[in-house]
Amino acid sequence: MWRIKHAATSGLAALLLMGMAGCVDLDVKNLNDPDAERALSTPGDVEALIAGGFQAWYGCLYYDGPTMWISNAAGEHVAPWGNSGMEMYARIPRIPTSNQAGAANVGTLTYCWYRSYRAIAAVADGLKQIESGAVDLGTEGNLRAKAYGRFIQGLAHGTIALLYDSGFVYDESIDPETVVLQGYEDVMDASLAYLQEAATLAGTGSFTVPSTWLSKDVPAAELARLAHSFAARHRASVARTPAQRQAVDWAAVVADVNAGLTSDWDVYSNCNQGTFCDDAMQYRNFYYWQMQNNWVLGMADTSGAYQAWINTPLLEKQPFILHTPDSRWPAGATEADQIAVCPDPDVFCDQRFYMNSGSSRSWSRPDRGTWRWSYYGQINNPWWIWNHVEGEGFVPMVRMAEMNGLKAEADYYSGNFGAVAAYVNQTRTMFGLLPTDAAGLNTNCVPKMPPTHPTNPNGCGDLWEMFKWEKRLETQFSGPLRVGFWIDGRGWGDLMEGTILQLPVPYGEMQLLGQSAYNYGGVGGDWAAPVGVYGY
Amino acid sequence: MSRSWLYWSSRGAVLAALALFLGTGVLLAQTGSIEGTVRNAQTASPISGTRVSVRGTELAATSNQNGYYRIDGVPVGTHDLQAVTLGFNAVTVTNAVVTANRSLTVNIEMLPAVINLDAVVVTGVIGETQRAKLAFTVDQIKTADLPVPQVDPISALQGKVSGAIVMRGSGQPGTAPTILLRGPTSINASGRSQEPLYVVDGVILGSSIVDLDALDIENIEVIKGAAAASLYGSRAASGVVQITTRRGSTLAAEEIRFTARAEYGSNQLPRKMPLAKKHQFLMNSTGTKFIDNFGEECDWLACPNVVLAGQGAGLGLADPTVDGTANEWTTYMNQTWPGTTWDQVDRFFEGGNFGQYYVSAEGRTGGTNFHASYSNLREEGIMTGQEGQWRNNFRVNVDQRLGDAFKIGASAFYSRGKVDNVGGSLFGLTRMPAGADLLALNTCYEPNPDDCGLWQEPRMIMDENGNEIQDPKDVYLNPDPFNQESPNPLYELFNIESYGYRGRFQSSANVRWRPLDWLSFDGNVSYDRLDYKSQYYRFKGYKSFTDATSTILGGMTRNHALTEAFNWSLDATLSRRFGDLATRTQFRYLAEYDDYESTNAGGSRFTVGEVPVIDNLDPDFVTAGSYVQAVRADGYFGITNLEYKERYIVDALVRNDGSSLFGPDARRHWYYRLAGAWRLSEDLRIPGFDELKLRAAYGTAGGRPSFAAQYETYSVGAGTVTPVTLGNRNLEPEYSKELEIGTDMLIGGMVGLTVTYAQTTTENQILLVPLPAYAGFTQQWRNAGTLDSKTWEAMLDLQAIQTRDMSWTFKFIFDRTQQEITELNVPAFTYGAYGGNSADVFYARPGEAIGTMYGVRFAKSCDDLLGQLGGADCLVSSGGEFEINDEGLLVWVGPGGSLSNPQWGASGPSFGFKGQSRTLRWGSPVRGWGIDRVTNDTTDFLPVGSTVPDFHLGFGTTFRWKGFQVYGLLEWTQGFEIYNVPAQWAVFRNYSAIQDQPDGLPLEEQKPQGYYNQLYGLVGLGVDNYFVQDGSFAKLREVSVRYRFDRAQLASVPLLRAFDGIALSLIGRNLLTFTSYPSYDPETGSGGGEVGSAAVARVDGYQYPNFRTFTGAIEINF
Repeated sequence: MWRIKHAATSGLAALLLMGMAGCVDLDVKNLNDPDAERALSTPGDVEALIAGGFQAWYGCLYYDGPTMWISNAAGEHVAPWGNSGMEMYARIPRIPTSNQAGAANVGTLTYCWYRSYRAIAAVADGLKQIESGAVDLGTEGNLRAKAYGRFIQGLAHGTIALLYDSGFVYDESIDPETVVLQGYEDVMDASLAYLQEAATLAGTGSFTVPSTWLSKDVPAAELARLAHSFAARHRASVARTPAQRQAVDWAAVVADVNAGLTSDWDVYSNCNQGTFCDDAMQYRNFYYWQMQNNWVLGMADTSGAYQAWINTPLLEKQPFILHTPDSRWPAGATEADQIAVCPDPDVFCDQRFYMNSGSSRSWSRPDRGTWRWSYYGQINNPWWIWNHVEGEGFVPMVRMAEMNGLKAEADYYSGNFGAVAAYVNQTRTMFGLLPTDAAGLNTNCVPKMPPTHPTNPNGCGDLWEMFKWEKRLETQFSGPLRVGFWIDGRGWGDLMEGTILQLPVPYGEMQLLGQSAYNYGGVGGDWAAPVGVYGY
Repeated sequence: MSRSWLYWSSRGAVLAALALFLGTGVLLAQTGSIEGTVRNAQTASPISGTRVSVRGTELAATSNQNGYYRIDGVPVGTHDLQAVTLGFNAVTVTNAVVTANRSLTVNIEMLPAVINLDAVVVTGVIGETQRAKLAFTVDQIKTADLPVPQVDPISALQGKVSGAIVMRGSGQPGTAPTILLRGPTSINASGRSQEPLYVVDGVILGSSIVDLDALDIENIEVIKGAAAASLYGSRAASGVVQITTRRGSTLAAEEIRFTARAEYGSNQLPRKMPLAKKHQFLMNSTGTKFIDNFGEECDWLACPNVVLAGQGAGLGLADPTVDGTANEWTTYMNQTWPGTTWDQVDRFFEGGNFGQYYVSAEGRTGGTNFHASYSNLREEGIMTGQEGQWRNNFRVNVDQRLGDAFKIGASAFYSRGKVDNVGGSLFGLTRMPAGADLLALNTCYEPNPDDCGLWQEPRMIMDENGNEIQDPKDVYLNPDPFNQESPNPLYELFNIESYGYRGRFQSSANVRWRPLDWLSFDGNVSYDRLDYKSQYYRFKGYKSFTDATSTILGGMTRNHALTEAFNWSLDATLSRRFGDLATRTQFRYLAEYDDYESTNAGGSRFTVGEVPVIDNLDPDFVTAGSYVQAVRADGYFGITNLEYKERYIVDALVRNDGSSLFGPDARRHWYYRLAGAWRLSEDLRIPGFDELKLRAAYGTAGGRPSFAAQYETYSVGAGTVTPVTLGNRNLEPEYSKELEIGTDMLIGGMVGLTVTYAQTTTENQILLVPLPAYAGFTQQWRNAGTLDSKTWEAMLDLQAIQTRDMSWTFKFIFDRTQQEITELNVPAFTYGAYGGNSADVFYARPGEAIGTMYGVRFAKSCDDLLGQLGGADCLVSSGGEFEINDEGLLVWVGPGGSLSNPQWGASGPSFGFKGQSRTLRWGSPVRGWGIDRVTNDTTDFLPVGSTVPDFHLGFGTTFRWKGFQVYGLLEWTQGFEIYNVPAQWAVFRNYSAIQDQPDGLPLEEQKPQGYYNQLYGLVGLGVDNYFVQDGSFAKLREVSVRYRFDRAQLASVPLLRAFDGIALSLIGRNLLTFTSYPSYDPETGSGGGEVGSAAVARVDGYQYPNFRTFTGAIEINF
């Protein structure tokens, strides 16, 4: 009997065990990152999602992206280091991209692509919620979100069009299933349309874009002007060749410039807090990351050293001391004299753009090419001080020198050389150089052409060269995507032979499309610069 | 919000109590005793430590030193006895008739066993099960198999378990090795790992097993595939490792044994990475000074620059080495450094001490058995000035029998450790010139002291006499002034303080109630907690040749992470015999609560020096973060085991698991197993075969996603919200289905052989699938593929000699695993190996073998030219323009050219496809091309190696003569490749030994810098077949020479006669490595990342090298 009793109780126990199934609560929340429901459910969260667009796009300018290596390849600066493809893609002769999985520095080809589309997608997700009525930010709030969103869409699509041969056009109104790759011209058209709409919307508003969105408070009217300025930049910069550059709708460019900013527009970068951190600029604070490219900026020299340097075989080139009447460069007969002009890198040197870096300099080993060696570092920016010392401050995004330069370029193409000379003289005369005229009088012979120039070897630069000289120096590191030398260089035909003219669609995207990756650049390669106007 | 583990623990405890006390009133019955002696059947000598149990009951006894055992309280009736001990075949005595108040004598004789098929295992089965009756493989390592104790339990498995790749991707003290059982089951293991489930004394571990002390281990059991691991459900696809620590249960009754053990020795670097001993720069005619680019003589550290030896002519100087042509093609790395040269590797890896001290007490008295131990470990590692790891462990295990029906057990373990986290800049080490003294102190080498950087200023301290001296740790920061990336690695080693502090607590409690002789209930509660804290401190005044403010003003970070795992389970087990049919059935419910949280804070710029607290940092430069996650799971299963005449065995189980890691509609999943075995030798008498068993098992197990995989998350940071990972609430578990077949045999009492073939298909691979860029989310977790795996395993035990005084045994293991992606439901994509130059080197697409590394191939034959430039006849010998050089590379020499007629610098035609053409250079490597086997496209993204070995072997032998014992273990892993990132970087930096041109080699046979520039420059720091190198190795893992003085020998020594034994040992770990891999150690890899295991991501990414340990030990028993 007891056995029966115990069998019964034990069976009951077994049933109890089985009955416990499911007694653990399996609902767990992720408390670390907001999930889609939360991120898209409240007006504030939707607004924050849209607001992050600029910061997401801003990552394009980071060290990991194309900024550093394209800047090297275009002669905007020189750094011999292997990081970020700087050594690799600035080799002479230029080599093609390695747009494939596992390739060295392939991330620098893809970085800006994903950053731009991250911004585009975030804005599209947010605007979709507003458009659908799922959230309501109020009349002015909705307007602000949409105007700002269109600005980001224009900025990001324009970035794709500036860099890549093709891209996707996507916004909240487009069915993701219908999205296909389009040529860069179409992507740029979309960018300009978004920027135009941003300007129009902002023009009707009285809102202020808060500092968390664009790093500083931006009134609606300023946002409209900003959109126009970017539109001007994009219109002119999308050209890959001199022919395309000259075929730009310069009237539209000028119109956008005129409707655009009236003073320099900076971003407040705070690397301590990680907001809009301009890490590429940080690296450029160090002379061994940011020396001056002798091929391009050696044209300041009037002593003949530059011409001798150009004539020296590549692997025998040694750095030389620039002697120039252009006071943006340190004066002095010797290196020591020039160092004495500006001995402390942590303070501004009055009105000078460049300093002889002296003991702060560290040249790389000669194995990487002594042609990369330079005595000079650029100090013409306030970020030199704040980044070097404090890690935060304003960095330039759009300078009036660039905007006015676009107008001057339009004037040049239309034959209004007097206006070009006026643009040149505005800064040229500030730095000890004699003014030019509509005929291109170059009394000081700055810039001085290299001996390889096909039509003007060792000659003094003409009006066009003086224009380019002033724009280069005045906008160095502040042009489109901080690679203005490349953007302008491909349109002016200045780039060294084999320098890449546009980037291929990243291999990862091609994998998704079931297509093979491809490459550009390199001497003899596709979308590679031919021998440039300077003969190299 | 889910309820806390505390809530559930209390609820579980109540339920456990309820279940365990449901029945009461166990009736008392008349009893008798069983006693006898256990002896070796061959030698007649008594066998101590044999566990003799009455089957179907909890009654058991262990034989003492005379082999005697006695079991009291045996119910009157007919019983079967089972005798089990290590090294002998188990014996079952049937039909022992016990009468009331009488003692029945049952003497037992046991045969030595080289393959212990009759040993008892507990993993993956219902309770204790003889290996002979298993229908699948359960590998077992006992204390006796561990003559060389390791500092962690997993290292103890190296070379001893077939199908288990155990390796240390990093040798840094305090880090755990990685283990792969029959290869990875996940293509992508981001946020999780490929590690098996670890269970220690019933505690399901919530974090690494590294804290445990191998000296406490009594038994390790390993189950490797889904068939065996089905019992563990959704966490078991990667296998299960179950560890049992000592409990004193194997001692004889009323015996208490004390053990004291001390081991001391040293850690040493066994192999070096070869670095350049020569340089390529121009020197003066006497070879005492360098020449700068102004033609001035200078010392290395004071040179404003240096020029290549071949550039002398470019400066208008007489070039001592070449013909005056100034370029990389006339520069050779054949210059001798002036003055003293140093082996920087020797200076960096000074070696440290190893010491471990262990005491334990264990005993058995009445119904109680216990084990208590304390150990102290100090392992300094091999880096100069580093402290390595320090660890104190405490353990108490107690079991108590309460009457005949109850048994309770409890275990508690606490470990406290500190690890020096300064891994050392191995990156920097490969960039140190042989002619620079890394121990020289900072000083100004500039001609003009005013030009010296802040970093050159001496750091002064007070010595013990109050005199101001330069800090001896203030070593010269920049021994290569032409390299601003890599400071002196010794400066970091000496001056950074970075420590990790681990506090680990584990406890478990078990209750068994057996109300009926065929029914028992078990309750288990376990808790595992890891408190990990770390601190990094860089003092104010730390040097940086960039003078970066945030560096030189110091900085610190503090992190704290708490990991908790709480589990409880209830079992009901029914054991009945119906004639010749023995049945066991078990039902279990298991609940799991895993929690993790971390906080961190840190920053830079101390206000005042030498005060390492966050409050002392500049508030503008302080950041903080936090993370929290909770995982909840439960499962229930039923399992039954049928044995007919002990020769036909069937095992079946079904399990249902639920986990919060899946979305609401995908939480619960079923797993099952069906297995059978036939002990052929019980039916058919085959001459020579003592045991022959055929077995087959088919089972399923699962793999869970990472915590975040189900959530469609946006990232919050710096005040903005951005999309991150597109989660998936419909994720299903990775579902492994395994068929395992095999045979176990014992031949002539001398040879044991186990052969197993396992075929596994893991469906529903949880993959991080790339998305179109415009989706914003760049990747999404999806069930998108299938991975097939085939494994052959064999284990051979051979007992060559077995006499009373002498024995000599051998053990071989073999395994080979091949895996292939057979299905992918998304477009093919590449994914990465973390570490070094982390890059997408693996291809996810159907037909791809796991571990295949893709990259660029330097051409090695004309086939790599794809029909261009002469095609199949491209060699000069066939009328072409290429030759194969001494490195096996295809190089262009031009029409009619020859490597014996150097034309360095000459250019050839361009070669390449898809916009990747490059000019060929005389005598230099060529970038090869091929046809992609899937797309048929021309590509230079080609297979360059495999991280999965062709096979893996272990060979162990033990020779014993009286008290003297010699043991050795050799492990051989053959046919795999490693991406040697340090070697590639060293070539980039011109510090690789391969660039050194041998003394006496005629100049025309030397290779100039241009050759190496091409070698680096054609690929850059990407993956290529030159730096993906053969990693095959054979390693002498363990060696021990031991002599044990027994009680009889000690009896004659007055001071020692109280001891049962004293053993003296010489021990070596990782003594020798035989390999062609040109770096520290081929046992290297990068953990984490997408692949999730260093055994798959064999990327040499500057990991801390594994090291050799040589020690002496003394162990005293009393």
